[in-house]
Amino acid sequence: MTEGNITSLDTEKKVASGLTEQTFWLNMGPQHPATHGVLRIVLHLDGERVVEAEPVIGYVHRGHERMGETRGYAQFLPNNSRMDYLGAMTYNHAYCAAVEKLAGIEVPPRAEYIRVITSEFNRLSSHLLFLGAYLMDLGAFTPFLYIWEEREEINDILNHVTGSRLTYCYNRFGGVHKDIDDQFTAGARAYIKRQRKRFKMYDKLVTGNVIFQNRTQGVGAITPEQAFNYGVTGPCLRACGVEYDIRKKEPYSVYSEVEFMIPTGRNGDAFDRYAVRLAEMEQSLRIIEQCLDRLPQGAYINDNVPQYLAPDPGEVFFAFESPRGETNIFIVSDGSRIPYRMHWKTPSYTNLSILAELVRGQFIADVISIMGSLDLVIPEIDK
Amino acid sequence: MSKELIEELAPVEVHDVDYTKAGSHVDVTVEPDQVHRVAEWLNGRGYFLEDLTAVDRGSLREMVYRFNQHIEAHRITIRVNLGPEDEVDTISDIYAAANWQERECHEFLGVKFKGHPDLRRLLLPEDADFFPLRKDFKVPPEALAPEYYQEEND
Repeated sequence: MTEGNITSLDTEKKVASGLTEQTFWLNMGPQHPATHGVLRIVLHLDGERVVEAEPVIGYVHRGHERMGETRGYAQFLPNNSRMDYLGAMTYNHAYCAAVEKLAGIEVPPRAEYIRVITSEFNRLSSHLLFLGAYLMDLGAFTPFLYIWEEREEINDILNHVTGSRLTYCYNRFGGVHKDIDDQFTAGARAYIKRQRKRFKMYDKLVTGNVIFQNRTQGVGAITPEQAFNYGVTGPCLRACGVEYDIRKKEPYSVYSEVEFMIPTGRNGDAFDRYAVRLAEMEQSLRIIEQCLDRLPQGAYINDNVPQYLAPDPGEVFFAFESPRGETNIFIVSDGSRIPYRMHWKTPSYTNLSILAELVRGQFIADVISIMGSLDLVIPEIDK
Repeated sequence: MSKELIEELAPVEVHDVDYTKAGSHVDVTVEPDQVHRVAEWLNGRGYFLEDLTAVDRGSLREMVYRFNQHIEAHRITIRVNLGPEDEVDTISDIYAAANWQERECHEFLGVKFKGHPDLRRLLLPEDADFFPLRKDFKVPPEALAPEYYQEEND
């Protein structure tokens, strides 16, 4: 609240934005329980109202793009899961798919099905964590304990085949690292059966709760025009009623072979973003079930992939749907073993850029509600 | 559809692209002073800004813009070749999404955006005076890949 805290905003800007004796500055973060990571938001407050907000990012910037340009294609594999640690499998899956496209590597059908199953499980666990963490941000502690139990089961199922519980490195160029077995499929089917009942419980426990509704309905509404302007993607965009999902629009892997819906909202507010994610989890269960039913026999990895990849000069642009939205990978190859240029555009990055506009004029308590509903993962923003 | 669209973009070069391989439906290079007009035109036709970055190609820097549609995927890649001292018009007045992406492009590759409201460092420290994604940036030796990755391909 002192002058010394305002490092990123110069005096001229302060005058221009109308800083008077009635208003003051407040640092939210970089260490704050509701930011789920190292995010700082400089809030300019008039009493309880937000006059201006500026997100300050870059606290966990590790230079992933440059790392990608100094090491081989396979060496970059573990980096994917350190970007979006909650959607690690989807990133891992997409990075392999992008490199396979660039190098022209064929993937056996069984591997593609396994990839979709594991990616959707990861989407489920990511959305579950959003559910628990968001409700805890709003002051409800109990749901967090419920989701933790369910998330733990997914972690166990995935741990059985991938060997890790959070930062997966399961996909390989041309397939997956290990085949799934009967224990995995039995566990997955049992989980689907149980989880379907749990969604009904969440509906009763959370969706109909008056306190929850009052804190989310009409709060932080994004219009389709704003979403278009800011390039917002993922559940935040679908909550405004725009049916845009890369899994449908530009199907990769075997998403074109399974049936599922794109849930959309109407008002684009925090409540709709919550509702869209809840509905998406049910669709993920549908996808997993269909993939398990159709799982073809055969190889789970293409054995003819060279140990050191050196794709022909060229480039690839690959878009995929991570739990938070559309992520883009852009790789340029100059024919050597090390990518010439690697660029990632991550969804939380664009979804956070709209925050300043959303919180303008709102109460400070709603800042938490709005920020939580965007489902940000900070290391993915900072790259 | 594509032919009329390409004519409207007034490119200096049209690249032959295969969507299934490169991920782009239309791929053109335009003059630096045309970027603003092209972005305005695409904005009016329902294309949102998907991605914006640059590739350091030694003597020149290649800006790469990606536009896409919500209703049906139709990705347009716009490229601009910039010399070391060249500037390009900002498109942050057309797309709010460009604001942060141009800041990122500026701090990592040193691309100058004419008319950008706020080109402070975004992800790097505020006083950073280096451009880490330029090819002349010296990466510390301990961060480099082991030698066998850098050898000639066998």
